[in-house]
Amino acid sequence: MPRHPVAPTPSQRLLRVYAFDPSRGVRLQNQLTIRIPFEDLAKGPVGRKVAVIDYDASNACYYEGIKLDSPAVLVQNGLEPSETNPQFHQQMVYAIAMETIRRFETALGREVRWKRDRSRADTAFHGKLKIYPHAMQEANAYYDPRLRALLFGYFRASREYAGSNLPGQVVFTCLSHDIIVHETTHAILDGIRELFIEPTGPDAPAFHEGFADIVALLQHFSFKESLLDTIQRTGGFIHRRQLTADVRAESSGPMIQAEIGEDNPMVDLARQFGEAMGYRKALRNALGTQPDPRALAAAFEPHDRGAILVAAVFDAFFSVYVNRTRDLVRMAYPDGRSVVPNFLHADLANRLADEASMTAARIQNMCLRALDYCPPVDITFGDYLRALVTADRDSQLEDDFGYRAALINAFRARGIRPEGVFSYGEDALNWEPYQPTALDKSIPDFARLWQDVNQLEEQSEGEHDEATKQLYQRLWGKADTFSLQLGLAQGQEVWAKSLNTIHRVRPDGSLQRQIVAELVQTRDVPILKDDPASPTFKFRGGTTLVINRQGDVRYSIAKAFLGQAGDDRLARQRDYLSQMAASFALAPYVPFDHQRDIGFYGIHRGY
Amino acid sequence: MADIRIRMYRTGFGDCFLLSFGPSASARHILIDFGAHTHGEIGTMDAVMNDIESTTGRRIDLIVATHLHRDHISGFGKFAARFAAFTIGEVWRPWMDKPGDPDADELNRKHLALYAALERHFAAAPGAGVYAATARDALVNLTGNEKATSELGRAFGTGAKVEYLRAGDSRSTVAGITGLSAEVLGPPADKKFLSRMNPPSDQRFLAPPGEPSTDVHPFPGYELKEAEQDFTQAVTEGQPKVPDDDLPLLVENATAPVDRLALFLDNARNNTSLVILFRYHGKALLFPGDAQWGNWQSWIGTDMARQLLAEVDFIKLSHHGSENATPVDVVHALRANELRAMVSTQVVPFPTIPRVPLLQAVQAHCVDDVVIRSDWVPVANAPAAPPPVPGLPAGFIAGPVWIDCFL
Repeated sequence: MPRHPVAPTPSQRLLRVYAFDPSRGVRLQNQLTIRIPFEDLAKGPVGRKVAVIDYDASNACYYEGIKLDSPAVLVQNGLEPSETNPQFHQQMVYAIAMETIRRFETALGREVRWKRDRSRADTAFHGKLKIYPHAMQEANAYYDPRLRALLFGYFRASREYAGSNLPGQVVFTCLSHDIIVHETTHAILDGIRELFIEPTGPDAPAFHEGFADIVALLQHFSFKESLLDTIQRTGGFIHRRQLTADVRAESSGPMIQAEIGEDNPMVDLARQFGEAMGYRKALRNALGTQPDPRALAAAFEPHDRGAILVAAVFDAFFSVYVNRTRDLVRMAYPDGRSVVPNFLHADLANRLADEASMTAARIQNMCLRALDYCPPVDITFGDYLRALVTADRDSQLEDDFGYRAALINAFRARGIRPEGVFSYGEDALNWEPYQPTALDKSIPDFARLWQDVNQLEEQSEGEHDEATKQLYQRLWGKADTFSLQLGLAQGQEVWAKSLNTIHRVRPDGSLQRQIVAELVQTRDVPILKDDPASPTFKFRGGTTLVINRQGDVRYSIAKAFLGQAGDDRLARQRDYLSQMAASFALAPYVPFDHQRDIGFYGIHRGY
Repeated sequence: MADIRIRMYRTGFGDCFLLSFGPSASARHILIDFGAHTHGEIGTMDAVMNDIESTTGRRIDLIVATHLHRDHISGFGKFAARFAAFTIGEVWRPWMDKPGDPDADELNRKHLALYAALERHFAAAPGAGVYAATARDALVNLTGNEKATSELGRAFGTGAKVEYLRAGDSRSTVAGITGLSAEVLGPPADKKFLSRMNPPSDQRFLAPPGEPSTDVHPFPGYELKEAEQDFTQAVTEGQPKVPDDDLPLLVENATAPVDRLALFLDNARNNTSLVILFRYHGKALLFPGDAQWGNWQSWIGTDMARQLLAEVDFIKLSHHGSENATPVDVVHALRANELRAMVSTQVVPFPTIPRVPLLQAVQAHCVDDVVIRSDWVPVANAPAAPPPVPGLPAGFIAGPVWIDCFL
């Protein structure tokens, strides 16, 4: 008999972090206590999904890892935010990486899995994402797929113009909330669609960047204190770039801080980093420039091009938010007066904040869920729009509040045109529902796959690997038999890239279960069509299957591998690679290597 | 006949073009660049200088120094005293070379700092990086230009006007030569261009090689070195260690790719090149210096640019015919035939230059399908062009250290 009731294992761990980054100071809105799922942690911290290893390769030294489970740390919700304590940095990268993972898992309805770990099972940290909070001295942070790690750099701020930083002070990229979310998102995306890091066209690398920015920026709208501040100081127009000063300055100009306006932190990405680099502003902004359908044709650099995707999503977000809150504003100002910043009734400000964070959460869910409806390779912004529309219609046919309409309009305004679609109508954008070819009566039936999946879920971790292998083999065989019906090239090897089961609660409360599987075909082709001796690259096609509970294929979202459509894709990919080779800065002297120079790693390390 | 003669001298790996307009007795002259790469000189500089003097009678209406690379300006330093005896009308340089321009000063200072750091680096570890040898050859091109630079800045003391130009500038009459106009197409001066010119701002490049430690120690009191007792203690308490297989990659990530930085610097300087389109009695001549992608990109791609390129009768291929110095879009936009193209080039010191497929692509647009190479001029002990060397088409005549093109 126990002598007392046993305390339950906690479900959450509370940890303090910076809401933005240290440059916003210690004001109330800049500190956040976030709740992440509780897990037992080793020193580092090292948990089930991530391992924080504080090794500094520039100084060839370690910084001792934090024990988040030690009582002194636990009782105060983690260490206090500090620039000078490396252990707080470890706490912050762990907390925000886990928070980002949690958000993906909630939206996707399944566990986040990293890109497959090809190292031996007994290698240290096998299967975990490694995080190096002080990896090197460099004004950069990136996800390195080769290491399966996030690398955060530190550097001295510009000595000429450092914004709110001390000129020459040390700036840590691992203390920027935005940067941590951005890099973690790269890693998660790489786990979901591993082939998106291949440079298959201008949109592919740009999608990775834009998507990571979208996730980081949407996060801001869950920070209640900052959101309220922004709502007050913009009169509810949270998309505005500037916040009004707390009080108005005299005509001679501001004399005290309260009279100085500042940039709206909600729409800025990584401000400290941007200022420390001497850009005089945040690294990037949610809305960027005015919508221009021609801008897409001129933007090649992945971050620039990705910014167009970011702007489209945020245009939709802010438009829906404005629509949803017009009634509140009319009730508060029935005589049609315009809202005066800093003079909003607290109740109104609160309601606006609720609407903003709800809208942000919904948009975020849409953006994350759409990933499952993307083709396995060669993503374009147009594909993503179709995936957004299809995924959302799949869970909710009614477009209440006009989310989908707002997204479609925002994409259209920026010249993002899905290929092979007749109009921007919702039903035209929806991926074509799967229809087996009329020639063949045999319809692929994946009911057996469901049985396997169910069995797999009942097995213990140890038996898992073998069962997974069998599962994949089954999928493989199926794909081979039905290659024609699934839109795959016949007689070409099929590679089952991933298989995920999804459990989702629809807005109406019903449960939706689906299997999403990626099937890929690959062949080596020379970059130059007429020169078989030129360097080769891997040309891929394939399809994403969305399979319902009955084992029927609902969608086969394909990228053609052979035939006319496949040849067109191949030609475009070749053009892209040659164009990249031509614009490569070192081209005169260094033979161009597309893997190295415009691969994921090259973009972040390239000069 | 528009009475234009374009004389391409063979200086080795370098540029030197003398343009003469009008009947020979009263011809007016423009000199575009005069230099040779330290490791690409072939001993013809004196002969070239002598010919410039005798051909022009020491009277040049315009000297253009497209950018501050040794292989384009070394002659102006070497023969400064002789140029001082010339009558010179004007000197044109890119805006990036203008002393006192705040944007230019800032960038130049950054480039110099990076250059100095790289030079120290290569001095200490000559083999650093995969492309170390190439990188050093590219870097050396930036050095020893002080004399040429300052002499150009004061027009050799001749009192000639020095102008600093940028994309968008134009002259309806160039240096008083009747019928000759010019449009400046590059370099641009907009923010986007400037940001591309910005070197990666990392102080760690200032650290001498072979010493992983750099100037920033973020937590000086808390560094745990692997050999130390404290570290062993931490490990027994569960301190996570980098997996052995990952360590080399982590170190590589933290190490500056110096060779690539050196090439970046070279690229940035090339992109400061003046790109000028001259027009004379209905003929259009394009001189893009060493413009590479970043410079071209600022103006190609519009309908106007395509039309302009289609009108070009003569093109000097940029950057010795290297890859990315004449974008595919430019080649496609050039007139389909009857184009005249020259390239001042040589296979030493950079084996990847000129890029043969590029020359072949341009050839298809040219008179007799030939792009004229400067290294077809035979010079004793100088690297020869790979055979076959075709005969010159009509309108081209070879001289002792040059080839003339008549338009």
